[in-house]
Amino acid sequence: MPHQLEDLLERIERRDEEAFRILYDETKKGVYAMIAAIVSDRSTIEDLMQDTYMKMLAKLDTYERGRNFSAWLFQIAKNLAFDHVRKNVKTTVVDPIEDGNVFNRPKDAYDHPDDPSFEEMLSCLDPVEREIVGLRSVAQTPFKDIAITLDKPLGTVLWLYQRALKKIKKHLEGRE
Amino acid sequence: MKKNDLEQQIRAKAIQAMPDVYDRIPFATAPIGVLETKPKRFSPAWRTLASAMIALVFTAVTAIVVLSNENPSVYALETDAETIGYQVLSGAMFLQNEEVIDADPLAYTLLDSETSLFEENIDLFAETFAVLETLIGAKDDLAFRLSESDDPAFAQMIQIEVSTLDGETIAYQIYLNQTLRRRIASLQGEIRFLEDRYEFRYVRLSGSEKSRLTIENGMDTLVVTHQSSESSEMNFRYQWIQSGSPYRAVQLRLTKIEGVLSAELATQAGDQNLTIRMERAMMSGMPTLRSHYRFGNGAEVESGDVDVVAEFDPIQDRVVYRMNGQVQRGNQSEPVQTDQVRPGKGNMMPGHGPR
Repeated sequence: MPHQLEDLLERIERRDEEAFRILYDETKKGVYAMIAAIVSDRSTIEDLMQDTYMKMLAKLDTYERGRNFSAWLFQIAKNLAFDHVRKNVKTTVVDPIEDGNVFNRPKDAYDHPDDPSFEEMLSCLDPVEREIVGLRSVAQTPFKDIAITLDKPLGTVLWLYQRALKKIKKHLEGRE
Repeated sequence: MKKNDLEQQIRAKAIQAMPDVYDRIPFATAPIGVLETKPKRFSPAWRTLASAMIALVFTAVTAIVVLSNENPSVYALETDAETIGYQVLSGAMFLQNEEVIDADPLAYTLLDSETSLFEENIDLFAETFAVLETLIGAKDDLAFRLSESDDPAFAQMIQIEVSTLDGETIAYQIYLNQTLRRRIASLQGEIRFLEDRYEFRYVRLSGSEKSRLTIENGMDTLVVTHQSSESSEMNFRYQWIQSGSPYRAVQLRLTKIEGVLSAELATQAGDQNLTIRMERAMMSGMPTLRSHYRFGNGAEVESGDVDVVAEFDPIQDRVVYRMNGQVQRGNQSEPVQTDQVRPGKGNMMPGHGPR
């Protein structure tokens, strides 16, 4: 995180909104990627992103300084998304075939070979691969942080990422 | 489709779909937890006692490790402070940057690929260059200074200054204590950069391994062994360990020619091997990282010469690292060129380098 994390957190504690805005801007891609890997409905993603930041603020006292903040925040997002899935299995499990209108995109967007949506690109991946691709490609999270977030060995994360990219590439080539 | 293009496409589509919920967060009224105060590592009384003990130990053993002198004129790094400091710094950098070139590219098969090894793994090469650019160069690019510690928990410190291609100077501090047990001298300490601290242990050995350094960042461990070196070169092996098991390794050979330190990174798996040689030089008046790599896969070979320069782009208001080169595969030779803005880290350590 380019800005000094501790400085930002201390300012947030003093209700400095500018500091919160910076933190939000620097972490929103990762939070989104983590939630979108688990949940597909756009309004649910919005709710969960909001919930993630609210919970982050409320739980700031449990964050241990010096630990990896992004991994901690993404874990909050992941837990909230899984909690939501457990409570609402039928409506939120990612299934692009069943739910062709994810992210409120027009359904025919999937039929256009040159314009696959983000969800369409990730539709060939399993949940863990979706999380890794989301965090890496979207949020540009370091592999080490992804490994911490997902509690997987670094080598496994690297391997899964390479494999996922190949699957996406093959999937996109197959739909052309 | 190239890997980079695919990643960019995924990123663009995701950002296109990403909602902005900032206005939905009632920051002004949201409950905020109070930050924990990080506990001090040592109580004042312990600190005083430790300082006194350290001073005694230091007085007794300082000549054994740091001031020992091994034919200093012939090696790439000349003093103990340089040799030890270099291993700690490079170990921390390699540990910090898991994307430094490793065995991953060796999964690449020349026959099956549309693009070159370099293009397929351009991110890995870029990050490898970013790490190594500050670990090589002339004396002015890489300076080590041993002094008394300004932290009473440690007896000594090594101040390190490195320079990036765009001329920025970055400083690191290594804090250390020395101990002597059963005639074996060892060091314990930590390297600091901003809020990050990596702890290390160093022990000098005899035989084919001259020393072993273990450095940790909590999750991962890296072991750096200084192997028996010949005349004007030094060889280090870096082995990553997770849950007690080694999972990858690279070999680094340092040579010094006319006062300039250059590096060769090598890794091997079965019939496949990759070496990248890097050195800093002035090219057309610009500081340049020159590299030559060779990838062998059985009888097939790909090689390339790639130069990296850092230029300030006034439009982006950022430093852009530009890679230009030529890749040779079989009888075919093709140019490669890429511009990229580094992800805000310069030499890939957190919070440092060009933004």
